[in-house]
Amino acid sequence: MDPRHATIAVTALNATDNPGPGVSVLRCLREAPGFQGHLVGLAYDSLDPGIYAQDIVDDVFLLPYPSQGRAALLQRLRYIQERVGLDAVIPTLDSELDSFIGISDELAAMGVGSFLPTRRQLALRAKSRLAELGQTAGIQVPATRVIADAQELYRLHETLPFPLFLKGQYYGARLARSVDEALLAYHAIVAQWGAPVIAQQAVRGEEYDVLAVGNGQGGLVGALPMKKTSLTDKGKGWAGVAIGDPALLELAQRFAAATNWRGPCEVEVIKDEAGQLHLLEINPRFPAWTYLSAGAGMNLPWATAQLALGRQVTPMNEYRVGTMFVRIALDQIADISQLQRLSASGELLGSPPLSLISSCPEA
Amino acid sequence: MQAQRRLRDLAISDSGMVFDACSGAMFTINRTGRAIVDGLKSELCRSELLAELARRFALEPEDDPGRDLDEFLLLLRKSGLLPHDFTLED
Repeated sequence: MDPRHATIAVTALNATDNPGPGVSVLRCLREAPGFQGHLVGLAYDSLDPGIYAQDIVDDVFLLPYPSQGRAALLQRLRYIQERVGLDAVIPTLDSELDSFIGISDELAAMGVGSFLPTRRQLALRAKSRLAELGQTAGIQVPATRVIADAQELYRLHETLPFPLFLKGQYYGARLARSVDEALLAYHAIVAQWGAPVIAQQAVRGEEYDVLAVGNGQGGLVGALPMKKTSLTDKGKGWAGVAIGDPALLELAQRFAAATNWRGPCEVEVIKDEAGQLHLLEINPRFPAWTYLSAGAGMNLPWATAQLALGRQVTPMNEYRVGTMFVRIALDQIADISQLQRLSASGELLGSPPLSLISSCPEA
Repeated sequence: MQAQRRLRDLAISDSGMVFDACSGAMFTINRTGRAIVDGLKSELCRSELLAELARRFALEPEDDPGRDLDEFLLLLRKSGLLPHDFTLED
């Protein structure tokens, strides 16, 4: 299978001010040198903005929510495979990874490749096990505690002084400076993401992120460090710049070596005032700013797609330091018939039809 | 010299906008700062750098660029662009 002619599916097409990674991954694939294949978007909501980005996706299918389980996901992917002939799939959400890992053998038997971490690797980087990972990999990690009951927050400061961050298992982080704030954050996170909640010591310093792809054998296919230069009110990066700090690359390498990480990940790090790096968390998938990798000349989604298709990829070491991304919020124009078709049938194939409403009715 | 390695990686525009490729920090320096950075990159010693400042900015003998130089070196050390123990040899 020539990867340039492959049909590749990517999940998560939400692209709000807290975007999913799918659109950026699809843009990287679309712009891969010589790529003439087919790109399939897998969405969870019929108003996910990436669905209507017609220069990026060829076909779109709705997926069952991860809470519906593996069997429902597999059934849906079987159907999609029959409809468009998938060659590879790249999931991009934390919450769906467990299901995709669980069905990766069935997908392979169907001829759909993937390049994912093992369940063991996924567990090694869990927020609740970060301290253990830090010890194994020789990486500094802020002190963390797993909180399963709000009562624990009243005495937490005895071992973990304020300020601290409370984090959900998958998403969300809230700063707490007191017991009251910690209680508020705890209940908000539990309501949204469930228990337990991870409390992590707040380290003062500059935050950095590294997009990396592990080869599954302790090495890196490539890694791109980035400094956010503008944040939204939710603390999400709205602009950033590729940087060339060798210490960040070494940290990503250590993580890959300690876990034999297979697939994409985002390493979140804080550099304190003394220049020491502290690992905040490892997200086991591409980040929303992944398009920077194509812009900087290190197209990591394309490398991942080739690996998912069973190709060998030469490790990439070069990228253009100083390449920036700056997000923009655009109004996309779509036809109401597209939303109707997607909502009714759960799929949107090919180019959009002519509008059902050809002109404005006379007053 | 190892101490000046970070300075060599700085991307400086004609207008004095500086991008530190290692940290991602961006800031602006004036013509004097630019002259000092250029001198440090060229590994000039303190007296050579002061002479270069005097030449480039047509300073009078009674002018003392040493204080400006020391203040700027302090800023570079604080921002991590020079090692904390960096001193300019005479």
